[in-house]
Amino acid sequence: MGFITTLILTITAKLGFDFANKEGLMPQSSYVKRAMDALKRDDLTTAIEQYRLAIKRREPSDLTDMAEEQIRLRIETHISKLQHRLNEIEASMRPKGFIQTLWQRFAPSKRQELEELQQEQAELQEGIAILRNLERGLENHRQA
Amino acid sequence: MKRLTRTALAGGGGYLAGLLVEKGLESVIGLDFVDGIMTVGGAVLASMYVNRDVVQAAADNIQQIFGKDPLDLTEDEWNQFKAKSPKTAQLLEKALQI
Repeated sequence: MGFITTLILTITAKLGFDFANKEGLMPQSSYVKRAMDALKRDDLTTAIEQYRLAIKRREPSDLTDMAEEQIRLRIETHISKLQHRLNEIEASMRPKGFIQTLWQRFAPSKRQELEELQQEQAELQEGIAILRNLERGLENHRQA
Repeated sequence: MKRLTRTALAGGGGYLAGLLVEKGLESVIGLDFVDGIMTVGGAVLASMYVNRDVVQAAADNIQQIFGKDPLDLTEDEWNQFKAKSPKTAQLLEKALQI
């Protein structure tokens, strides 16, 4: 009898928890806690998803506003770091004179270096675009 | 002696059957029995510590932006943080009674 009771309780708890969790019915602070835990791991996607759940059924509160501020701040920090590196790369790729342009175009070692920089530039631009998308997603959740 | 053996065998069989059912159910529902109840309790308990987590996130952000501990911030740096994150700054000021 004890076993069956535990079994029913467990299944009910599991199903109920999953449903309540996905529907944003759990306490708002539990979503904020999970969002902050995700932020600690730098998992921005999960942090934003948990923030979305926190305000899905309830009005934004001081707590969710603070969480949103911290997530946005983290995204901005990452964007500014990537942008800083991108500026450095673009400055070093820009030839300073005619001789340097020729040297960069024809010297094999310089050409390879330039290709590597161009690849890094593309990766950084992609990273910034992803972060900007996340930032927009966060903004949309807040306004929805 | 025969009765004792029979009881031991029945007990062992019962234990094994119970274990199989438990493990089978665990693999189906993907959750330990005790965990299932604790998860719900944990979510409620977690809310008690949430302000601490927001403060920790703010401290991590300050570290990433300014490269220093929140306690070492200058007034200018603090005002910069406050402009970007007013509500959290307010909470920190209240907590530290600045």
